[in-house]
Amino acid sequence: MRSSGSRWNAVGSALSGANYALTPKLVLAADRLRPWLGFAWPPVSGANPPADVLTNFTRYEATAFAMRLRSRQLQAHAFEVGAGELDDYVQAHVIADRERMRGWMNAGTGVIYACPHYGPFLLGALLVATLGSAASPSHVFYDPPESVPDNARFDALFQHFGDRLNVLHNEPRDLVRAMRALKNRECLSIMFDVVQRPADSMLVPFFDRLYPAMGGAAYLSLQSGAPIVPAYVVPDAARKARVVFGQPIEPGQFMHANRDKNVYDMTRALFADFQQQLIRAPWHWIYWANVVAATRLDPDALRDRATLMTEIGRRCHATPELLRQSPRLQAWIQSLPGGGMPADIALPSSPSRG
Amino acid sequence: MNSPSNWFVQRRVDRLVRECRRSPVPPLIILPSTAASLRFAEWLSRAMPVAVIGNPRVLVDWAPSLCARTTSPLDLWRQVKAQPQLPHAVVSYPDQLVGFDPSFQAVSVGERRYLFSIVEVMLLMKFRAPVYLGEARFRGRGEKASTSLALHRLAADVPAGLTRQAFDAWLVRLMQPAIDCDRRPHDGWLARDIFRLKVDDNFETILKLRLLEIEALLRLGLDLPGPVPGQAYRELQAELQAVRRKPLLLAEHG
Repeated sequence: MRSSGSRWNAVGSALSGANYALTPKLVLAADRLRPWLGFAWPPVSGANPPADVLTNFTRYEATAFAMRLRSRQLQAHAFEVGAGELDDYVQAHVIADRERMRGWMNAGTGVIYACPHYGPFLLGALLVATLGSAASPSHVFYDPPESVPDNARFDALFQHFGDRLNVLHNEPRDLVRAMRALKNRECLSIMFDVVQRPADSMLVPFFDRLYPAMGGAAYLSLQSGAPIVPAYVVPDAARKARVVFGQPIEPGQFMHANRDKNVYDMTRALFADFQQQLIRAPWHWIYWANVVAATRLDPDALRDRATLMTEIGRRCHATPELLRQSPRLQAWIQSLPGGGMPADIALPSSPSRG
Repeated sequence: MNSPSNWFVQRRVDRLVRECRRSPVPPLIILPSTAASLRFAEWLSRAMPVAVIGNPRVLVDWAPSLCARTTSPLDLWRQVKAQPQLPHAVVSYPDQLVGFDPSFQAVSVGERRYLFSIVEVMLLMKFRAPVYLGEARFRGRGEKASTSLALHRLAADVPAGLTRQAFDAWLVRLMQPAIDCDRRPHDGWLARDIFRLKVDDNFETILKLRLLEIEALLRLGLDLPGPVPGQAYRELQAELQAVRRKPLLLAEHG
């Protein structure tokens, strides 16, 4: 019976591997026939990037569809990993520069792996779990199931590795635990790309928009001295995931007297790194819809004071209710040339302006 | 001034003025805020007496000649309610007003709740004014966005006594020009940002997000040479953060 069972397992595994290998080829072949067959690729998850990003990618939808099928397959497989199989599984299915990881771990501080919801990100968390031990566990930090019900299944999976991997939820008590773990030179994986309450976030420049971001990773890094290492997980050949590390962000480089500014600048640096990864490979991120919905920012505003003032003036004048709430902002806007009124709001074709 | 689009606006105004002269009651015209509809209102106000329901703080820049004629819905109602006839045409831009007076009422359209003034329906019930709804037609995007305006006469025979449900249905019918723009927001819709504040559930979130945007932009100024606006960020930071922590209820602005 056992031999028959293992034979079927081998057949299943071979079929699954063939499916993984063939998926992109089949999808791209079918995409060539799409103009004649007139079908559309179903949305696997997430929206397309904004049009200005898409211009650089031909056949985006088909590629994204294939990539996301692969990511789903890898994640589904990873959910089956048992407690005793973790190291073997990660060794067999996750490609990462482990030498660099050891270097960060041995640097005398903890490490914050900043992992977005990008590709089969679960395998990145499992990689971080393998760095932990009963004496010095690793930690994953994300929103609690009360805020994001889907996270309950991640909680259930990570419980299997209880002695090596500790789940921390985005709430004050666990923030303190995260800080303590980093000060104990342990490593922490944090999902940084989703904001549950945008009104409580900060807005950073991202794809010519102002994108809501939380400063949690930066705050933890500045308080503990642990660097932030951006980690992006992409599906690779042979049913493996590859972890691509971004440029580590060292808290020592952010020494402004104003702590808020340091948190902001670090978060901005993290999103700048993420933007570079998305420009290289946009297919794997599932939250493009948030970028599309984010408010546009004239990129010149980052370089040119007059453009920046125009951007501020436009928003102030479009929201008079806000100016009423903030007398100092109102006074400041009115003190600017032209009352801070951006010239481009005016209608050049209106008869009164001739 | 003599461009083809102005010629079309002039023709439309002339036709409407001729129609109005035949009618004993001046019209009620409800428009979305677009370049074409503002131009139309400016031309119309030269041809006949017009009161504008709108937001003078935005009109001062969009169509300054309309500012002197602009009033809030409630003030307009107070001016005309005792009169036997509507003394002038009324052009209303409901998408410019977040809710300045107690005449505003929430109404559901599909899954969204909007806040609109009921004064337009009241005018219709009291004066039986002929109603025209403006339909914005958009072309192009961004800086190339352009608009034209179509006017549709609404067959409106509103009985004096209405149930709440029937009243709301009339309110939605009259506010259709703004609701249509909200369904398909376009760069040529000038009141796009303001109108989002009218959606009840969004009010606090959007005001606070707008505040975050202003804060973020001021903060970006810290990296640019020169004192403004980085200096302003340092000066305003505490006040802006205090406003952000405060509840900002739509009702307070009603």
